[in-house]
Amino acid sequence: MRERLDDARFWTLLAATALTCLAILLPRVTLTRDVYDLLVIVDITGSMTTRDMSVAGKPASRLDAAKAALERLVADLPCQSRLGLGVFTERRSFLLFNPIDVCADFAPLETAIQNLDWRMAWEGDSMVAKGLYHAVEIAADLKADLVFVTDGHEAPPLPSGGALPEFEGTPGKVLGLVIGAGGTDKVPMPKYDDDGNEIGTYGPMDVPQENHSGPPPPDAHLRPGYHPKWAPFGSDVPQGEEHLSSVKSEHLAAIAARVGLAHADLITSPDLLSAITSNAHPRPVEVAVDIRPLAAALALALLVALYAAPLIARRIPIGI
Amino acid sequence: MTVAPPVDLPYQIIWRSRALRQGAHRSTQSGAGGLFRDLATLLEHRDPRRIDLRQTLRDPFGMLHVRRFEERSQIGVTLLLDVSGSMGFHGAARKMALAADLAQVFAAAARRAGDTFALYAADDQVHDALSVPPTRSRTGEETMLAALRAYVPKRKGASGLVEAAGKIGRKRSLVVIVSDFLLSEVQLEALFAALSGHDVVPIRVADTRESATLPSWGLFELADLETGRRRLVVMRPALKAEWQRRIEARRAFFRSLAARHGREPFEITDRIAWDRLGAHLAAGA
Amino acid sequence: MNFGLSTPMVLLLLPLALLPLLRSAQVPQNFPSIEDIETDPVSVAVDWVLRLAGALAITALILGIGGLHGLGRTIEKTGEGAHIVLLIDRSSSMDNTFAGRAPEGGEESKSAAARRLLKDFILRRQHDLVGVAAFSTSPMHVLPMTEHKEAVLAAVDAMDRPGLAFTNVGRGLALALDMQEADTSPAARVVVLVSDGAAVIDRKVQDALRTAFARRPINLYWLFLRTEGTPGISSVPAPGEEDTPQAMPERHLDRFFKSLGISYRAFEAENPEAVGHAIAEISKLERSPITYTERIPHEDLKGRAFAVALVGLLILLAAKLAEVRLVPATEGA
Repeated sequence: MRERLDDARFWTLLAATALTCLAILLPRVTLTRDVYDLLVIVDITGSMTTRDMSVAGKPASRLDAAKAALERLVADLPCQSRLGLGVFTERRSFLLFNPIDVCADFAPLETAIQNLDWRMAWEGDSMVAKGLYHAVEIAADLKADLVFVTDGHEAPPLPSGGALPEFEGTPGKVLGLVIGAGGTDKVPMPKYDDDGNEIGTYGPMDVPQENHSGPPPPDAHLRPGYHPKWAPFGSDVPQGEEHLSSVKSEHLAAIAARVGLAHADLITSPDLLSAITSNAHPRPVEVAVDIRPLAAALALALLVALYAAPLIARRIPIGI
Repeated sequence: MTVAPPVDLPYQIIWRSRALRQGAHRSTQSGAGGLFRDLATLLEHRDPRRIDLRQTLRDPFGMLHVRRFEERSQIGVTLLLDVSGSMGFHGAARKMALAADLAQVFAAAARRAGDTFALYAADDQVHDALSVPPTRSRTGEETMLAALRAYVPKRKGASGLVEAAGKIGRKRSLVVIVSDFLLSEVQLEALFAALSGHDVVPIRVADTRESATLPSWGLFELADLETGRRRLVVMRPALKAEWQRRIEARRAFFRSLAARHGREPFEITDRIAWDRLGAHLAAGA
Repeated sequence: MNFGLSTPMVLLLLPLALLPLLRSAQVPQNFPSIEDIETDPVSVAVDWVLRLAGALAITALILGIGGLHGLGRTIEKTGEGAHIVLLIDRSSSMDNTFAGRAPEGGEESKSAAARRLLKDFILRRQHDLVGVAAFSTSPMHVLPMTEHKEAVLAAVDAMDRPGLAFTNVGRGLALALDMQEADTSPAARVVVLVSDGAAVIDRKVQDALRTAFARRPINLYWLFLRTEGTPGISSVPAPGEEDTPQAMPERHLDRFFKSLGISYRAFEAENPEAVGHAIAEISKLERSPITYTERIPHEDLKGRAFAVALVGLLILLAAKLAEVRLVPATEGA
């Protein structure tokens, strides 16, 4: 027995055995983890079909890039987080389904994201600010935080002066992110016919270059052909670059700030999860964590050391 | 530890040394002193100082007879030391320590008797660093013993012993082999054949821990000192008996071989019984 | 049963299980020569038992740490049910009550009533596969065919949000048929159209629908949430009134459906009770045999892996306890 007490191998083996017993008996430990309830609204207007993004190294439309980022987000979100999906066109956000569990309902959630399509849009207009306000309203009703994915391309353009529409809710009640999808260079937008076939790109004459729904800009009387009643915006064909599109970061930052959301661009911060965790209300949930593998890992380390040590230090006898 | 070795270990030979040099052993040389050997005519042995009057007078032919005396000559003492891995066993005693003790005592005894002493340490080759060429000098003895005591055997094989046997020379000398004799039968026979011209004193070093006091029950892993091979043994009385039978069979083979080639082997188990070794050597047979 | 690992990376550690095959856990004890002692079969067997016990313990620990589990399986079972696509009208008129007003007080809007009853319907139908599509001005794919009831309920929950302007039944139906098309199982196919009105279906779309319906049998139910006082499915035009799809879209849509030669029923409901009856009726009708998959949740096998490791370790420990020394350690120099 005396030798046994001196034998390091005996003690190592005994400790490994004890740890393995512990690994069998240890109960689960309850830890608190933060999960998130999110409403994701995706802009599906025509400008989102502009191919100035890339997914896995291949050129992709803004919508495809947004979908890829969202799929990754769904996979990355901690279990028991919930995510609802909606689309935005015209001036409204349209809820497809209420937030559902990102783990339990992963498969339908992923397919639903993949099925987002610009053909679901019901209007050609894209009043991003109003859509965002509406989305905030829905998110507040669902008690979720908002992730609003858009390129910020307003069509028709905002009235001159760039005044944002009034927001009636309480800024900051709903947290979240406005995510800008799109490249920083202005590129032409693809154009489609009624059956959804691509037929080239928009030219300068195809889109309204100026918002004529409000009062004319104060300098309108200087324009050629100006007439206070018949031609308050002048008579010339308006010039502009509204047929070209890029991600309108400044505009997005401004409208995000208006409703109390943060803003991030997809090209500069492709990892949505970290951006969301720092800008959303965490919901603490209790999760049972299995810590048995820790004890088992220690047992394994001892057991491996027991066998490997003599091989490493071949000349050093153990236990003498 | 073993009992401190006595300073002297008188050894005897039953043959006559052919060495010219004077020594302590019986010799084929005849001379003027020492033991009476025989008578010869003056013509044969021209030493008129040793004329044996009585024999001369008794000779009917009137030849002059001279008494011849046997000269005492020296002999060569060689210690062949097995330093292969198995000699590294440390059971009840260190085999190498026992071997060093033997070397020390034989070196001293040879010096005292005026004989030359040589030591060849060998495993599968002769280790020159450990070996000492034939010498009567005391110089280097301490170094040799220190080196032997510090040496940790690690190589396998004992073919170097045969090689060392060739270095001894053709003149008959006293060859002490210190080994555990865990050689293969072929090697053993080769070794004794190589030493056939000499007076061979085999000394077998054994340990009770490798045979007699093996545990009856239990599990242990053996590492062969020669090959490094490992083997797990589940020891139980039946297996122990079988092991002891094998070890005994090996020993019996060695004893019969040694006896055929000269002296009975002397066996050391755990400690050297110096008095018995002395008696063994003094017997000379 | 198939097995899976939560962290497959641990498989990289598996070569460690070879260690016990190379070296034992016993203390090697020097012995002059074992070469001519014959190997003993019992010892050899015990030796291998110990090596394998070590390898087993390491393997089992690695697999346990990696989160060994029996893969969740899906067993095919036969029950009663159908593959259903809920095609929900999200036009803004759905936001009104059956009386045609904006809901006030305790009143329930048409969509809220439909939502409540549909949810009830979904919960009671255990084995159905349900997909959800919405339509208004344009068709919208909401949820693929799924057995995840929670997801379907969440989609039905969303239906009483304020909707859009128009009712584009034709494209909605085309989308619902597309969703059924993607499904290749032999189960009964059902499209439940929930709307409060009808609209003219484009000739082109009509033809497309006709071919799509002809391709495979689909049971169509039209749950028509009629507003009081508006023309119904069975209204006949008063003398002198035009009998055109533009004037009487419900009647013509019904006629179009009947002309398709498929199993079709229309339920006209003017109040929540009638909606309930209609849904109960659909539930009763759609009882064809269906193979559905039942998920057996994955089974945590960590504990068992650790138990196996423990067996290996106990064998090693027993060997360790049985170990003896040829030379007592106390005599070590």
